[in-house]
Amino acid sequence: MAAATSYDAIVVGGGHNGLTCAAYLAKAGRRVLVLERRHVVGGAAVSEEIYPGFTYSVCSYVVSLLRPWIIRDLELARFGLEMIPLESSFLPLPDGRSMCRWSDSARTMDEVSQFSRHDAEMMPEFSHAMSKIGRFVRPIIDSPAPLPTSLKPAELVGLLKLGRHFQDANVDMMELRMKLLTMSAVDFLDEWFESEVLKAPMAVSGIIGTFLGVRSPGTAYVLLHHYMGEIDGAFRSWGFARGGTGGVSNAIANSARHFGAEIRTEAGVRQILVKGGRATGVVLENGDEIYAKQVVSGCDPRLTFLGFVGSEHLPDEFVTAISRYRFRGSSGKVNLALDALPEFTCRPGDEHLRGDIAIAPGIDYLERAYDDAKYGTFSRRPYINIVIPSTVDSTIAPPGKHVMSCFVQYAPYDITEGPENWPAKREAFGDTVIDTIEEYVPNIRDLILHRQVLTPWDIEQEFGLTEGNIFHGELTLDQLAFQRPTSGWARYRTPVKNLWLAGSGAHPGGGIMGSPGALCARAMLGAKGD
Amino acid sequence: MALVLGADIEGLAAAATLARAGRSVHVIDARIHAGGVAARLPFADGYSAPGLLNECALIRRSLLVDLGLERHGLSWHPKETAIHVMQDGAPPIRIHGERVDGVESADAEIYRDWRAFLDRIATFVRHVIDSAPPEVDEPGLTDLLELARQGYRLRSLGDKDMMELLRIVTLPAWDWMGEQFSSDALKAGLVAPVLTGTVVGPRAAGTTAMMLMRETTRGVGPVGGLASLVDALVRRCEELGVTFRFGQAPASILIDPQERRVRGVLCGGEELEAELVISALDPARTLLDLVEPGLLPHHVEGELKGWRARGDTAIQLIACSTAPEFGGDNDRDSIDRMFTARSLDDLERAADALKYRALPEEPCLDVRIWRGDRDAPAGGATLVVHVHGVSHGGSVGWDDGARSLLRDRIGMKLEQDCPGIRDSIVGDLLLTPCDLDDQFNLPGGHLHRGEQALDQLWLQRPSIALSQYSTPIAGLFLAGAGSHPGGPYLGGAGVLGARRALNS
Repeated sequence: MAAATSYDAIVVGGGHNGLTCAAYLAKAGRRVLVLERRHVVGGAAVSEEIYPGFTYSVCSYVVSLLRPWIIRDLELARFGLEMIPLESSFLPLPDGRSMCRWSDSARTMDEVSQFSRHDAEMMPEFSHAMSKIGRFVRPIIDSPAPLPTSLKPAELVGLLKLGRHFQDANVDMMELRMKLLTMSAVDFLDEWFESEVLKAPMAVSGIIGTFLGVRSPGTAYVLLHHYMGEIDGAFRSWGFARGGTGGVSNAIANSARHFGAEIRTEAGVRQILVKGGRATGVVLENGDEIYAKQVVSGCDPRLTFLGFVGSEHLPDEFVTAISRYRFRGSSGKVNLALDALPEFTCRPGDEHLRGDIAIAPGIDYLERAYDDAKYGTFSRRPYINIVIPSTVDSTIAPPGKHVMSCFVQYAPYDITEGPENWPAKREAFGDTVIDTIEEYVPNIRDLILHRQVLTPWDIEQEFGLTEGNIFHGELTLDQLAFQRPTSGWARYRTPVKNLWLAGSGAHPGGGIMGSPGALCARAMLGAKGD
Repeated sequence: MALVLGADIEGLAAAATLARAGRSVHVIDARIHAGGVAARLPFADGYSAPGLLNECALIRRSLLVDLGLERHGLSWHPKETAIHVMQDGAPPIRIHGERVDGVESADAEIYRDWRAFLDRIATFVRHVIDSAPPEVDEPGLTDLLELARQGYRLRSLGDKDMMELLRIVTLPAWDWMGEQFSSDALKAGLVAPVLTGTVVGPRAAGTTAMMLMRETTRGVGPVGGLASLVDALVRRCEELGVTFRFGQAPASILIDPQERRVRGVLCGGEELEAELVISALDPARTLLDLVEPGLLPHHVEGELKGWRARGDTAIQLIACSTAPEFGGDNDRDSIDRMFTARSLDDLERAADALKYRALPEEPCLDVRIWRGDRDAPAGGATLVVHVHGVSHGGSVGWDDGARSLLRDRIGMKLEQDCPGIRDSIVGDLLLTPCDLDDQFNLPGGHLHRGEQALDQLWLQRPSIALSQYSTPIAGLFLAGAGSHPGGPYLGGAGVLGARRALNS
């Protein structure tokens, strides 16, 4: 058994958080092994050449939340990360009108004032308020979640710091924040704006990855979660990684390797070994056993605890809590290889196609899409977020050709027929998406060279994301901060000694943020050996 | 002189509380008698409804006790009103306080455990409901003490219950109920009562919080319905020398702009002088319509403009010549309140209609049955039917067609659970949210002067700056259903608001 503890830590799952954790541990001198089931690293942040010559960002397609301090710490620019900012946000409408928000705010105000003078005038104040709130929230996503009910001195100091942070703002800001936690995205936006053309595409940020509608209370917070995005310190700026979203994962992997981590692909884990309440290593799908002093899971809480560890090694209450933890994937993905750049009837040209394109023509449209999902079917007319990254990145498609990525909501995991029957509905789902786009781009069908359709079932089966939830569990208030994934275990530790959770199912949650991985590594490095 | 605006239960409770402390009190109401939606409403020959609200179990008895209303004819039912939930192909289930009948034994057992949890947290929740929210902007010593006291009570629940409470408080009722019970009817029967006053269905976050409040504070209702509470409050007020002015709405609140202090109220062309004005009207109408613009700080105006009071419920009063027998022969005489929703999905679908400002295809009914000789002739009954999911206007556009469509849909639902009931109907009155707005001075047609939603409760009812009942205008206080605890927690805001005014 001499070789048994040759690793200080094994990281299960080579998604961007697992890799981030591994890189930090390796940088601190630990011997680290990352085990990834697929043939490529990145998990859901992955680029793959699915159709010859075309590189898809198969799942996650834009980067907004990746923390700048992680980019610096892990020297990601040096290891190949290059961000290309999204230049615009385009909303085509079925009646032939359209609106585009640009990085140039004066230009945006011009566009908005076509629909509402009032809204155009409100925009600067709104942006100001949101960035103020964003600044308030940022320390929360950059540090472990404080426990509001603890009386331990360390916790109280953390809470006091947050409290002082609270006090820095004036009264209405405080009200705004409390409201943000509990309101619906639409109610929140109603307080600022009158035009649905502005409100609908803004409100969708509140429903991404959740099984909620834009009128559901609690969605205002999710909206903010997406507003915290920053690239190089610029607020509310989203971007593409050159080479596709996998560019982020590859840079982190390169950094981890540079610091000495070992990364194995096609090395799926079947089981996390637990002896006497301690994690001792893993069993691979091929039966090999590898031992380590610590085991880190970058996978989601249900897969980690109920799949790899097993309920027999866990306290009953913890098992109940993890079983109750809600996933309910609500989105699918359609990736297209296109023969040429699509042309939107309502606005010809290509200047507005370099950012994201939202099929979200109204609040009621979005609510009806949600209603379909509530009663067990995919939306007949879904919300679609489209990007065509090949307009700004020549490395992912042949000259003149394009890659079009469509994020589609709602596609509920739990359809009436049962999730295992999703494969039979996959192409119908894909057709619905194309039908919807066709209403804005009449010749879209003629342009399609290849189509990849991912249902929530596919996302679960292929990427190991339970119930196809892209955030490792819904971003709802009861599953955030000190309750992510469950109260008492929000500090990356688990009821199994030497087993840690570093994925998006840990605070501060989903998106290509890197925080859970980095904060987990920090907790491990600060922990006293036991 | 203290002026109270609005003579509904909150206004009357505030008036009595002020008068009992020795103030001379004058109450103004635009309607011709007291009680608002809680007053007795005759609607057909020989038939009346003892108030329009079906939720009589949440009256804040602990706060009203000082008024000694029992000496003025108020008495309480010995037992809570049971709730029946209709089922297809099975007798209705019966939810009665600590017990539930008609469900599988596993559910009955889980229900007992669930009630035990609620009992453990009840003291904490009740304390929050029955106390004025502490000031958090610039907390004084008493506010800090109150916060500490509430924090301490939360801690004393023990780690397990406290963490569970924190977990569920923002949860949708749909999820919470799903974790507990398997009976669809039981889940629907527990959730349905809290949807009145909200524009959402069971899948909305915050509905669990409403359930927690209701389940830990409910108790027995007054004999004779809310109208008896109104009658007792009026008699008590009269005994204390309170005077009333009916049929005149206040035109504006008079304010000394230099001192930002209230001077009185303009009403019927007459200036009524007062050093205290307590408004039981809704907060937005009080401060935005009755106060001259520019006197309030900008942020307070902004908050009030965001106050949401969108009507969600239509009410039909139905006169039945013979008392209906819901759910067949089973338990028929004991059914006092029943719900027609079979499942949470039924409730959700009905609430969906609100989003599109359309009529629910399949309305879910909350039916209160009043038998006996006071509100109906012997052998007959008055039904107060609440239909959740009906909006104030929008695409409904309350013309005769929309009204008769809604009536038909309600009739079909009643007929489903009580075949033949339509033949016994001898009269009715339909009150849409639009009617409630026009006839009962309820802006938006909202029964509680403000939606019950997480961001409109407690510290945020009606806003952080206004949740301690005082306003930026000295001498002007809010004590209506739009203040904490508000909503169906009748009498609470009136008493707490008046107490705050007395202590100022």
